[in-house]
Amino acid sequence: MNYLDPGFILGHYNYWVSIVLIMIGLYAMIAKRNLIKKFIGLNIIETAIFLFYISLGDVEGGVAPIFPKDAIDLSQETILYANPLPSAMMLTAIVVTLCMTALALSFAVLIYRQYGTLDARRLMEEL
Amino acid sequence: MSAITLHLPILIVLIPFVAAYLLPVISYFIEGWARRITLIAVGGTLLSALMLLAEVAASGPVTYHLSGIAPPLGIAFETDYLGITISVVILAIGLLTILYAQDPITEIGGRKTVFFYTAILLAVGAMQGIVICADIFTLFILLEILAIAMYGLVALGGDGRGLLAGYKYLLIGSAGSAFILIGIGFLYISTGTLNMQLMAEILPPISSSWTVLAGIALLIAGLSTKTGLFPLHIWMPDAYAYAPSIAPVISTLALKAGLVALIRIIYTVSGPVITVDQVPLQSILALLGALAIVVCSIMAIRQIDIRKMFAYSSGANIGCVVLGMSIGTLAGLEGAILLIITHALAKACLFLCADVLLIQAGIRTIFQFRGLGQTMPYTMGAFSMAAISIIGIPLSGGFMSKVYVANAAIDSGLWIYAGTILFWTLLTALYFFRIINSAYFDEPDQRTRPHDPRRMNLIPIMTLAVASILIGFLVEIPMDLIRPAAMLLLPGGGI
Repeated sequence: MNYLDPGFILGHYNYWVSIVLIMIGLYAMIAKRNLIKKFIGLNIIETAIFLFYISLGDVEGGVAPIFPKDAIDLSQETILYANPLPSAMMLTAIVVTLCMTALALSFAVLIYRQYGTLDARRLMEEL
Repeated sequence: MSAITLHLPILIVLIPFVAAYLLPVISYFIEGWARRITLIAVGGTLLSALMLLAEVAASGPVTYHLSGIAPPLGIAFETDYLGITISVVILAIGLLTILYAQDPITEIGGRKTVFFYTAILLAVGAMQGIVICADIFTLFILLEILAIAMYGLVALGGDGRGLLAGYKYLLIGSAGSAFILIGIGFLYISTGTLNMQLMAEILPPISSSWTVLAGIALLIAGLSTKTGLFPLHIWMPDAYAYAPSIAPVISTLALKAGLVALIRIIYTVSGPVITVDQVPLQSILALLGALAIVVCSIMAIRQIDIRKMFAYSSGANIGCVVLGMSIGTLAGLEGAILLIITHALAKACLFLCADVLLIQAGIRTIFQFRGLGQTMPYTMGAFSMAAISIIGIPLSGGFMSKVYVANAAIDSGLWIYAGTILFWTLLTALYFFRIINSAYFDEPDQRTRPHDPRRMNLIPIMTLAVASILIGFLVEIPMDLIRPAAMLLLPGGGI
């Protein structure tokens, strides 16, 4: 496989997008000083991972993995289904991310009440 | 096997979880039962884990399939020797810790006590799941549950600094989780399965692919944040210093669960990759472990806050566990597992002592220990015994585990690592002996008259202290379980 083949690069554009998004998220986590912006960076990373997983599950020409009970067409034996497992895993991961976000935002609220600022650099001096 | 013993592997995970959900509901109607319910739940879990331990010791590892569906379709829990041993250790220390906990907890106020114990129950349940689960995505979910409970526990700390430490922990931990998730995706798409055993069977022929290597690297990097492996240990000192009451002990136990997950990833999943020597994973991890030992010990000497000092000492111990398991011989792995157990016992005791000292005498720094050997003889006795085990003075628990790791290093010709462990012992002795010296040979401060806590609080501390010493004399008892655990993990049965 030639990794420099334009067809290969363009054919995997959703993976490239998720890599770019992860990098943007990492940048936000490291460079931003506001605690909420840091966590938004983390949310961008998580979203990029969801995109990555859903791309993994896709099968070219595949349909949604639902078996139509009343309309079994046995002549169409070569029907292709998309892989449902990555999407199912991402449903769980979305819930986890939601919990983390709720927890982080509530921490941010409490920190703001206590210290009157969300600037990470000033807050870390308190530790 | 009766119906109950058949379902023991899932029971030890479910009992704490169900109790965690019931606790707020019950506490809404009846106040003041939070600690008792937690005690009953953890006690019941310990009982189940002991029954399971007897079962495993008698007839080998027990596999449990959720809803009776076998892998690759279903989710499996594999209770092998390693999992059940660490599970019993975690539960026993957890039970003693909750027995110790002062009720009500003065630091965090009445209403938050329910939340405190709910988080502890969630953490305990998640740890049980982590040490026995055989499915890599379930591992991720359980790690997240554990992490959320730990962030909450740390942030409950009395002043605002607990919140800041919790936020720092949360940012680093969540980034680690993201890495773990990407790593799982890479491994899943390469192997088409999430079960660790099946993954290990499929991996060898494709182990040279970049996808697999990147997946394993991401998984190990992510788990390093969870276990506090150098250089990703930076959240530990603050989290330990400002967490309330018994939360640092639960955090210590959480690190041990993370280490078991790391051992599983390295040996069960990527073992084939290691044996064909695609990447020098072992030497990288051993080097990281040795660096952790040296850097964390030097940092520990520089600390004034005792809890921060303990946190850096934990960092060094984790380094030694990683060093032991990455040597890749039977003795090294045995030493690593034994060190997980002995360190958990001793460090739990030290953190409980730190809590007693804070409550009884308001002590936070190493300069306040003057004459405590006279005024608080039992607490300082326990403190010294646990410190002896951490330092690794001969015949204590810590000594035996260090000997195993050092022997493994010498057998593999890695003399430098054996030297590192010796150097580490000296550094540890340095920072513990200045405290013990000040406690026993300085005159007590006459203005304050601190005294030992009530007997109810002392018993768990003394039990942990005596256990951390005795395990060195009775090392054959845990070794009977650790040896088959290590043999099972090593490729080819460790021969």
